[in-house]
Amino acid sequence: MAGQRNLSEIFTGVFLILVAICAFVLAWPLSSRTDIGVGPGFMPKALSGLLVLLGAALVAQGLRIQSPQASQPWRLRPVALVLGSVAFFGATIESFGLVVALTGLVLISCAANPEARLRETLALAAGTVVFAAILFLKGLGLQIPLWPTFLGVH
Amino acid sequence: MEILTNLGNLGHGLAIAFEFKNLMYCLAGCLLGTLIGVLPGLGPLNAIAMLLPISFHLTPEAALIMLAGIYYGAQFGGSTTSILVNTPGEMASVVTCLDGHKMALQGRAGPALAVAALGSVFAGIVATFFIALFAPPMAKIALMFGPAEYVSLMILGLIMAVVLAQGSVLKALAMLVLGLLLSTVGTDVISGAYRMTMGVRSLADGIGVVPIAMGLFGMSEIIANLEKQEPMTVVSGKVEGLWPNGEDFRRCWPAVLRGTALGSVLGLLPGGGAMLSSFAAYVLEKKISKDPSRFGNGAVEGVAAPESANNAGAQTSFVPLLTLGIPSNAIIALMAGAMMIHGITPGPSVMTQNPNLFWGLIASMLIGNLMLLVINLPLVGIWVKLLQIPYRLFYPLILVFMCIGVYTIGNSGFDVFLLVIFGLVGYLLLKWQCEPAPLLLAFVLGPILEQNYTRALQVSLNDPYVFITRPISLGLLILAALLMLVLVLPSIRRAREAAF
Repeated sequence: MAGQRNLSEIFTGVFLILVAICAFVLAWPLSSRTDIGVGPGFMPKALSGLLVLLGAALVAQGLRIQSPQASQPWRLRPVALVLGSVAFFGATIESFGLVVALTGLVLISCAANPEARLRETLALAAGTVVFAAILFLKGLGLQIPLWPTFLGVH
Repeated sequence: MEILTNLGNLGHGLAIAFEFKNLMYCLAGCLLGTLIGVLPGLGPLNAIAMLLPISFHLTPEAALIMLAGIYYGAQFGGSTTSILVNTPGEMASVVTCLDGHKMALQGRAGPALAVAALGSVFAGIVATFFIALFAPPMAKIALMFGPAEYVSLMILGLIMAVVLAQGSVLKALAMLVLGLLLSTVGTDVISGAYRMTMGVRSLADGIGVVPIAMGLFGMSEIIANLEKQEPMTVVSGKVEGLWPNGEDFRRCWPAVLRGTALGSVLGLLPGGGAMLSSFAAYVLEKKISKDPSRFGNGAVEGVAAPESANNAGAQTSFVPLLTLGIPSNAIIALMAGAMMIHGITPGPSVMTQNPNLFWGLIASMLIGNLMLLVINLPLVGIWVKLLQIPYRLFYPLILVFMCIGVYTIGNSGFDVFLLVIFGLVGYLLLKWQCEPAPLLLAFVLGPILEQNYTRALQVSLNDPYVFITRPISLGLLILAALLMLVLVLPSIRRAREAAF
């Protein structure tokens, strides 16, 4: 595609600059020098400075060089649902227990795939919960609540 | 004399590796390694990251024996998928696709699989002895290293990781710095100050290596696979006639020898390991062949050499970890994490303070390789069947393992959210063609680098020239500078792009 900027390099560069700025702001209160040598703030600040430079270089390169291939299509559904399913697990595991968290995880992540079939998905969720409960709780003895903790069942 | 002592120690290690429990974990590691090696989109890095939390419940010996089994087991399994499906089961088997799959299309899948497995076993056994003889003297050298030398060595290793990363050098360098930056989050070891924790208590110990590794390599891969939705095609029909013919044997034994030697040496280098070894071995075979045009058209050497090399490289890459305490690639970095979970600091002291772990691990590789030969050759049909499980049933299970694994490390939901964040970052990096391996390596090396840097300055009373006035340190830095220089030379850059 003639005239198309190399977007991947520009995006990478901008992303890195943003991360570096965040890190720099967070590390601002930390001292860079103490009387015995470098302080806790030295490394974070030096590295975020370096990262800004590298990010800027990437942006510059992206603006200069033309992209040889068209960018791949982006699809929101797999990203949102896969990440969402894991976030659901993280949000529910502590208070709602393994059964709720895993069922949600499997159902949401299966929805990420347009070819998913309902009956198969439900069977997979049920199988996963039983399997995980046996392997992780009984077999390995991990300390994870099985049922919602507010119900008081164990 | 020293050689005899080391062989004696290896014998002692065999006794430990033959303990029933360790034998079982070795078998478990090899089976699991083969499994994830066979399945595309799931490499040793993901598997080790997933099992890291579980290994906490084992003895250190059993944990490392199992995790190591996954690494070299994956080198066996990866070739199966490369040959039969033309999709690399994992990264170190990419080049095996070139000639292995061609052989399969010519109806010679059996010999291709057999050559790959036999070459791997041979390489694995040789590499084990190589480690037993090479690691102890290297540990002695390491004991002479001061903090300044460690800093220089790690800089060299990180630069190597940039050289070996795929794609743009600038991006690889940026990933490296990002990894170092992320590693500074948490409590500063020297001053005790909280750094960039944003008041989150879970971040006081820093960001965990497991959520980062699983997010960047596991989650992003799943999302990318779901986007693609390409059905896989397995070479149909049964694999018949495993045994290679005389012509194959004559052609491949020198290739196996060369691959083993190259892999053993390249595994030792910082930044080296299975992947580098397999690429280098393939290029070497093609270079020295009398008829290079055979390569890419089913040359048996093109399967034998890289498959031997990747197994040898996978095993010898443990040497820098066990002797210097410096992980040379992202997978070994996770092994370092596993050792640290058990309170063992990787480094030259492992050999003297934990001889059972050191020699038991090395000896287990000998046993593991023989197990793998059985797992892979007669049982190859089972693994092929596994390839026919549809991905849609598969990826939710991977997610389940990842979530439970991450959660159980610290029993904190926060780590699971970190997994989500790094999954997103990993996906973006994948889209932007940034290779995340340097990031992970830098993340693990970061704290060690900073500690040694500070210590070197303290020892020398804040003399910033300490890194260039000590000869070994200076030599390592010059090497690193040369590599950097080489990296920006246009001709080398072109060769590098062609190689990857």
